[in-house]
Amino acid sequence: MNPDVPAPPRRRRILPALVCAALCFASAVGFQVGADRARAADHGSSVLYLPNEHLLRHATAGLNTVIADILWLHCIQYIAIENREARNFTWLETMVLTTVRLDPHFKDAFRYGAMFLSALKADAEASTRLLCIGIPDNPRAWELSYELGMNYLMNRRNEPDARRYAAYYLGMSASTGLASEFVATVAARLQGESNLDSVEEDMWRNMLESPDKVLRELAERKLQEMQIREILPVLNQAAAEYHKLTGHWPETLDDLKRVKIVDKDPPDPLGGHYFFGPDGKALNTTLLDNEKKLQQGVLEQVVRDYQDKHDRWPDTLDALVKEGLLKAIPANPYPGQAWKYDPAAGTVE
Amino acid sequence: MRVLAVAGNTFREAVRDKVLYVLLFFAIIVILGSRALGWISVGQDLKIVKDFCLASMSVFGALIAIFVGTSLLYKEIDKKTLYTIISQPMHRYEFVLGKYFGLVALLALALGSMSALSTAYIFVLGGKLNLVFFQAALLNFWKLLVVTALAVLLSALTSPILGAIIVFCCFVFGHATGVFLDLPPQFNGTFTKHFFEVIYYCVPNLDNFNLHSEAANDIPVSLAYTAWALAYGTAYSAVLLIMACLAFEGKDL
Amino acid sequence: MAAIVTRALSKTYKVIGKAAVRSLRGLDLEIAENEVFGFVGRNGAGKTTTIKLLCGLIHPSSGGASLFGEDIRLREARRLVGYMPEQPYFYEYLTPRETLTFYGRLRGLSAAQRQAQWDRVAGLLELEDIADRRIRGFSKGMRQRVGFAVALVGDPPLLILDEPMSGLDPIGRRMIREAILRLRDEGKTIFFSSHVLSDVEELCDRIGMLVEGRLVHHGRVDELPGRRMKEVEVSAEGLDGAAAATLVARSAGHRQIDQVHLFRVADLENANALAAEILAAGGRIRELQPVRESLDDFFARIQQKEAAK
Repeated sequence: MNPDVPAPPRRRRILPALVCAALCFASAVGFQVGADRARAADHGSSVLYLPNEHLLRHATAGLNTVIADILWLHCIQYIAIENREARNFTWLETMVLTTVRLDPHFKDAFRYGAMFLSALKADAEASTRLLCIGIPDNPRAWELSYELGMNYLMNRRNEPDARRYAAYYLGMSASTGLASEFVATVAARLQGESNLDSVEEDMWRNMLESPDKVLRELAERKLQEMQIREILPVLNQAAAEYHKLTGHWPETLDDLKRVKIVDKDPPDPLGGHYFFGPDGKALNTTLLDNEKKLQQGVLEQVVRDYQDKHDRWPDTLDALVKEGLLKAIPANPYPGQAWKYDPAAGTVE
Repeated sequence: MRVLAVAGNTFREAVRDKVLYVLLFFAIIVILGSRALGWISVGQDLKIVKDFCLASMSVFGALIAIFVGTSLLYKEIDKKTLYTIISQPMHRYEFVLGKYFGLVALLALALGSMSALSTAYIFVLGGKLNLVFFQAALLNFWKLLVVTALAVLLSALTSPILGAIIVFCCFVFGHATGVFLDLPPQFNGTFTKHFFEVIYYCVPNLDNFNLHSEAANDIPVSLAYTAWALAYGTAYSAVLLIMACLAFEGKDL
Repeated sequence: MAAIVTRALSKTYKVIGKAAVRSLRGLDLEIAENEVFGFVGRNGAGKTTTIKLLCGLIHPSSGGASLFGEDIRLREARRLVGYMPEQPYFYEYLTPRETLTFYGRLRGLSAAQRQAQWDRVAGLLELEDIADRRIRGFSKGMRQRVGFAVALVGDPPLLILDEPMSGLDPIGRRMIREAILRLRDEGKTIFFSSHVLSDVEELCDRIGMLVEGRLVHHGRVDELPGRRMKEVEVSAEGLDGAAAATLVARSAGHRQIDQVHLFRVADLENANALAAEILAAGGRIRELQPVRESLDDFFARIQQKEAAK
């Protein structure tokens, strides 16, 4: 008996174990490469993210989707509050972008985020940008290309090629085969019909069916605004008749009533009233207030940009044009009224 | 056989230590959390429920893996229960593997129950589940295999508290390995870029197992990807387990 | 074949940043089959280190050992040994029956074999009445019995027991002692450490003594070199007062209990002389008993000697 004779069994096992570990590790690296490729194949090319937002997603330890949910809910509350109050929606785009970067397949955040950006903040470009991030990652989500098409159709309709883009994206949406018949119908109607209003109306009516309260309210309001817009040409015609009759343009509805061209006030479900501009153009305070709010928001945003750059408020609004921040000061939608700018507070009235 | 005996005992210990109460917390968090948030959302109740289910599976599974895993071997050494076991005619690696598989069985039970609860809850809410949800749940479990292997390795080397801290950091950081590849373009062609690339392949990449976004939004994930990720998890766990066995083999108890 | 053979077995604990501790230095030991071997020494002398080495819990720094010819580093060696650690710890949430089943499975026993083992061991250690209670609530004595039971699972020919009787009440000690003797009669080899010398003296065929990691004595209990006869006690009766007074003057010590006189003299020579005088004085010898140095005294002397070196 000599216990020193057998080689220590521990030593004998270490080498094969290390070889095994090395092999497993090598295959792990190989599998990682495979997984990366497979994931790239699943999602197409990835969107170039801003580095800091990318870091945010990495730092969530797998909780990215839950954080995205919470952020999105916060975003919706923000929209509800802003919609009632300031209607500036300053942070809307940032919030939506962060949400979708945390959860790149959150198609409702893309869709409704884009809708809110264009319909509420009137920032059709931001809306387009958002959808352009979402579409490559979610090629099967018909809602996103549909929304992008509608965005061109409704909010960017004055741009050249808007109809062409709209038709392209609506076609893309229909081609996923997942969209409702409604989308295909709209895409087909775009070829023939010139009346985009009825297309828009159909879209909002479609949304009235939505199970969500915020969306239903939005659609309802948009339909009411469309009603008002449909009344305006009727009033314009009445004003022309009045002009023929009296030789001057009416100022209020009462002028028309007096000569019996109109017998009762046209309705404004949103509580505004109608009047006439100096050239006899019919106007509505609800629409003008909306427009004014939007323009005011744009102006104040640019004023804040100026302040960020120069660390002081601009002396006049013209300074913004001189600085190149604006091409021109947008006109106050109320005819004959000018913006009241307060250089001490940087606010526009 | 011996591995099974140790595994069975580890499983029984965890069950008798009431580790599975975590399922109760899971149910509470999922139901309360998704209910509380769901009512203000825009048609998103089901997405939020799915997100909560998957994220809670990941978090509670990781908690079990970290806290039970890092004390797995250490507790046996510390309480000297190991003395009578190692002096039995068995290899030490059989003990390590037994402990590991015991905990894995527990995790399988826990995650299986969580998946079943989630499925039932989502059906009750009137939702339906696609294959990708179960792919995500399976990959969640596979992620925990890697985390558990790391925890077992550390429990052979350090105290449970230090081990838990390290594994927790690895868990958080393991989801962020992508930063090593997403370098700003000015790094292109530099040594730093290659260095970070090497690191990317060395550290465990837990984001491979994160299909939460796809699962909650019903984006199909290819079976090829799932297979790669499963293979990756298996291989990486094997590396960590072999290292754990080696570390434990030479240890004086 | 010898049950345990160690050759220059040494263990040095190295902890980074601390001085190395040489727990065991060149232990050479041979223990025959069916022997009861007592391993004694103070706390920290290296008894537990030796036992852990033999059971494969730690790896020798140098030297080697074998059990029935199997290298201790091999799994096969551990099949031959049943080990009970000092203060055995078990999974608190198991019952003794489950514990023994678990260890039976680790030893690769079939269900029928496990049942047979349980019947044997439970009978020996009276486990039946606590079989299905969780160990969590057990007293020290109950735990010790379970520990012993675990060592017996699989019927190994060698039992290594670390302080099997420490902290037990007299009934518990007797149970362990009787179990050891019964196992010896069954042909087992038993190696146990203790610092309770009376147990060692009573149970062991041979003992080994460790001082600071070195084996300083090794041999039969009754043959330990240098274990001296301290004195001889002569007990007598039927002596009258005068004769007794003369004899008291001649002896090293004297006590009287009723009519019995106890004389102490230095050695057998003196004892014989004294006995002759007692008989001559008309007395009667009741008993003549050599008083040996107790093991405690013996070890204290050895330790002092070693410390002085």
